[in-house]
Amino acid sequence: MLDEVLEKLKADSTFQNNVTHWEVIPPRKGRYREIPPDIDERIVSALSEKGIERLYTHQYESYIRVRNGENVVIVTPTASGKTLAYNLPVIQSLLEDSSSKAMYIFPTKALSQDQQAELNETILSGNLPLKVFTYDGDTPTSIRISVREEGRIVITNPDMLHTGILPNHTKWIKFFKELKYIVIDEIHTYRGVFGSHMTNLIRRLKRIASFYGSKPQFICCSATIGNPLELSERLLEEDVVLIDDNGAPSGERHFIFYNPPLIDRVQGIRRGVVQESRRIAVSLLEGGIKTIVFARSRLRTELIASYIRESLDKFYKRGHNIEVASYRGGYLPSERRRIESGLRNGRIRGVVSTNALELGIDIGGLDASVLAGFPGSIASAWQQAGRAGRKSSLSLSILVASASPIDQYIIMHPEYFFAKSPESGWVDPDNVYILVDHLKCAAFELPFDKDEPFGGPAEEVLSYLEEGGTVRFTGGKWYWSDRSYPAEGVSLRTSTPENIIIVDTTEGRNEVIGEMDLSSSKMLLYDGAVYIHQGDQYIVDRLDLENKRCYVSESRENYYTDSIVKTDIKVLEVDEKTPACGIDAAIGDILVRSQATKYKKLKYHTHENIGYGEINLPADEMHTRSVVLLFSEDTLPGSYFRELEEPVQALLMEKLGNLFKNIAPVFLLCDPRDLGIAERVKDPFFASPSLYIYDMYPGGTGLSEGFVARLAEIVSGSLELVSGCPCRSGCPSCIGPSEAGFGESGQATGKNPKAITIQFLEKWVGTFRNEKESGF
Amino acid sequence: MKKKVVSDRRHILARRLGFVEKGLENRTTGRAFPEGQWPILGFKPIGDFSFVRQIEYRAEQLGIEDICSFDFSVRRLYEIQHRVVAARGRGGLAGRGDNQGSKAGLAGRGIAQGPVEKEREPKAVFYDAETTGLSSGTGSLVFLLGLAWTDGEMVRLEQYFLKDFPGEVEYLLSVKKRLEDFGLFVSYNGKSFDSHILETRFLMNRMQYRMGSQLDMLHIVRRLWASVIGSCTLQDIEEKVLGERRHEDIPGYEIPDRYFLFQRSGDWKTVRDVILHNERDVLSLIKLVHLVWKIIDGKREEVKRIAFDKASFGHYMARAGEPVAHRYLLEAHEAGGMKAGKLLSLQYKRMGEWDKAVEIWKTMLERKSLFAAIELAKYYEHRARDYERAISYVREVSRWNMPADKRTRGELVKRLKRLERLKVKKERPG
Repeated sequence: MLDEVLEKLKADSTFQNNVTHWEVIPPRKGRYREIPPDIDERIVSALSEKGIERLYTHQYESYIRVRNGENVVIVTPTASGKTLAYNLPVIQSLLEDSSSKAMYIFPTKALSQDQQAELNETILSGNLPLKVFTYDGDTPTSIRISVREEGRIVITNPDMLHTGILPNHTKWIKFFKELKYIVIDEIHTYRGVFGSHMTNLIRRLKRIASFYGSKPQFICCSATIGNPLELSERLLEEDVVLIDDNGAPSGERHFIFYNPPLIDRVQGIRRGVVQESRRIAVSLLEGGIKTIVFARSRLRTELIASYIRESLDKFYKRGHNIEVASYRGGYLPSERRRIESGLRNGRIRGVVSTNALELGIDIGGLDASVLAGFPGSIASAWQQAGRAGRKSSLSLSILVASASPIDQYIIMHPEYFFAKSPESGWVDPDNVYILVDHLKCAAFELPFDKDEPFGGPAEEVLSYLEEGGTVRFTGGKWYWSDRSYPAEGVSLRTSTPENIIIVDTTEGRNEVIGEMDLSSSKMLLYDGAVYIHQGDQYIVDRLDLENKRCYVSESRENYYTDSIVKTDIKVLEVDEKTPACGIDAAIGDILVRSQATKYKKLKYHTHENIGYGEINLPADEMHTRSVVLLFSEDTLPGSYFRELEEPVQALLMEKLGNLFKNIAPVFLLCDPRDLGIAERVKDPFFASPSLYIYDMYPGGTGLSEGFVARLAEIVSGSLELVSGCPCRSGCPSCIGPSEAGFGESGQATGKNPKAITIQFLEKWVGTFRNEKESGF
Repeated sequence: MKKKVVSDRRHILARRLGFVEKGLENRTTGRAFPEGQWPILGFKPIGDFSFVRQIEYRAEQLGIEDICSFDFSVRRLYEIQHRVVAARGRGGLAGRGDNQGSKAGLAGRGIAQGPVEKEREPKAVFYDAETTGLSSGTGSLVFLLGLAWTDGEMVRLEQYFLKDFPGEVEYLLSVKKRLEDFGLFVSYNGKSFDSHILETRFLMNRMQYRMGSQLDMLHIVRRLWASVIGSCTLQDIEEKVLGERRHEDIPGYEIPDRYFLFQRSGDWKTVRDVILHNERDVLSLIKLVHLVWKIIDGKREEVKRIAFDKASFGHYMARAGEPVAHRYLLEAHEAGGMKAGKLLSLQYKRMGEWDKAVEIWKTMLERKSLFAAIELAKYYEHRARDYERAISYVREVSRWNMPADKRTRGELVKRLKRLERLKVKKERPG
């Protein structure tokens, strides 16, 4: 069916006019090994029931390596049987040794539930005597004891391990004594600050295991990432074997880059990504193609899904409907399960999703994926594209570009996309901020022996903590001596896990229909907002932040709503101003405030603005640390800056910000999403052009201090990067892409931003290189 | 260069921890306990780091007239609590006078473990622990454990004090030795807090100890007084129920810091108040048990001046199957309490005293009780077979115009349909 559709697309000249690239990735044959003879009969028959008679080479290799006692990291594409690659050796070992246990760690609760369902299926069909439990915040108190006592495989997440399990490890004696395997899936999510927390969490986990005399072996899995082996060795601080020789077959894949047509050539306005993605998805679905659409926000997900349903309703007479679901965070677990199983058994033919379906949730095979906008990273784009494609059949992925500079760059430069390797992940477990937090937690869990290895300058930090009385050194050990429960004060993630419950109150009903995290709710669930849930439309009657409830009722408006969010930065306190690289760098505390103050009412389909409403909700505030680079007139770089015309100054500032965000993670061992950037040509606080680089974790994690310490390297590295970059006028890898047409027609400032940036950086680097040479 | 990195880290740390100036001032790392300063309040050393203090009280000093009946009341209270917990497991009221459950319970965990098994009755001990943390978890230690038990005409009190962390093993060993004398452990919130921390301490030191049967007074106290006085800390109870006031007492949340201060300074005076606080807590617990028993026992003359929540307490006692429940529920129902009416009527219903039950439901119906309307409809449908009346009660509900959830609405509609059908069937001749 898909080949017919592809032929049709090839012949369609209007469609072809908008295609900037058509990549055909050839099919791959599967490579297999026999199921190893030592595997338990019951597993073999359970596998056979699922139609598995032999293993892919990578599954076989992982089995052999794990059974041989090695730590492994498995990196193969979606739907290549990764789950089996780790379940097989674990289940076999657990069957051989009836007391041993395994812990599975997934980054989110949704993934844990999915995994438990899959494991139970295998275990039940094989009648295996293994109990699998999920232990997270949703686990009822009544069954927690049996999880601890009877669970052979316990599935959990890092947050639960951090605040629930480790600080109460005496309740888990039986489990820790016999802990043999730790499976960590989706390890690519543990990078940057989150990854640094994770490494310390693993240090703590190993410490507790060794207290009970066990030394667990690690099995990691990762999606596409630039440096999986390096990342996993840094996370585990042990030797790891990389298994990335994918033995799973794949069919021919077509990857089409599609740029919506211009509707206003003069202003360069293109048709919207929402409507274009809908059109493409509808024609695929009508052709009988199982399709997934990835949208970049929850609102767009619901909007595209609603449009698709409407179009299909027009096309089909009753009784021939194609079911199309929307999928995003915030649905109730039962609803998510229903959609997932509907996709697997084919009842649901199409789905529109946020990146929630990008991770390993099992939804079976789909034929086509439509990326409604570039998802922001190369790795994500491949992951989303990979959702389409079964073992042997043809598949199609279409990237539909939005008007944003980054989308336009990618769509016009397909060679950039196909040649660039995916982003790498870094961690810095010895970051003092993070280390201090985890040493406190670790001391609470078990007293520290003098000279006990933990990682980083542990002893120095402990003796420092002792000065403040948080720990006490006596009898050759450091004891926790504070009344608090330290894990409670340490969050592994940027946002608080608090959720708002959405309650439908239509006609005296009182039913929970969904949930949403606190900060998103302020942007999406304000009084008067239109809330779309699986195509059903509701209006928000009242958002009760105090009781974490949002009351909605059914509505039939002809518009949807979108809030206008303002973010501003307030300097709270400047701790120090130090000269660095010829300019002044200020370090201090700032308050980043984001607030939705108004919302637009937008008519469906035309998206025209038909009115406004006020939003009266408290701002979202984050108190964090920032470094501010000050280009004041009395410094040399500052004077170079002043020589530029004002619009060019603003442009340069923006480009420097992009550049630093791209390059600083390499030096600071963090992730680009850990850094926030704000630029102000006229800064009211410092009264000079200022570039803010701040920490995205509340309270800061030392990135600002680190940034100043390595400023010279970052600035020189930036110059190297941008001048060595093969692009013409800026691309996502260096200073960021320019507005469409820039550099050619000479719009806006009339200058090539890349040239401006290089010139400025050369002069700037010149100032401090000279200082060094002159004996500074 | 190395030095620079270290000082950078110090700087970061100092900012992060926010107590650098204060912390440096108070620095007393590694200082030994001042020589020659002996413990106060009659503590005797039982090891390098552990101390014990023993005091005796005559029973009447604590207001206890008869030690034998006091001992009995402790066991009875335990039985009541046990039956309520068991009833919760079955999802209903105990009621039908089965006392077997409770006996099995007391024998179960408590006695089976220790040497007490051979004796007739388990010996009760009152206990309260002071800890270094306000939450549980492996980082909280027990540094002071107060125990009290009856002995002839006396009440004996012992307090075990841990001076510093390295002494925990010897401390726990002597505590364990004493605790093994007992089979029933009476506390205020000890079941979910103190005992857990104590058991955790044994595990952390690679030892095993599990407390036996627990009587935790917090549960019954909440039933009695939560709606009357609000917060139910032991201090609140003392002040508002027992009518006693503590002078110079230390608030509970300050206790861990006092202990840490003691560890740093070695000055026994800093923990003096904590020790007296603990002693007082154990004694109050004894008085509290005595008072609650008087209320249950029905010696109301003596406890008349004390207000308590009759409906809630009646409910609790009903779940334990105690006859005294009836009286309190009736009083609460007469005073207008819906919940009491509900429970009372269900008791009558179970005993087959339909007239009394119907009477209560009718009173409740005037107060627009959905429960009563449904019960009346059920009664007239299944017992009296008067479908017309049953219908009238269901209709009554719809006139109230009150929001009901989907399920209840559905059930009402279903009931109504069935009743209409039955009515027609009954009216049809033949």
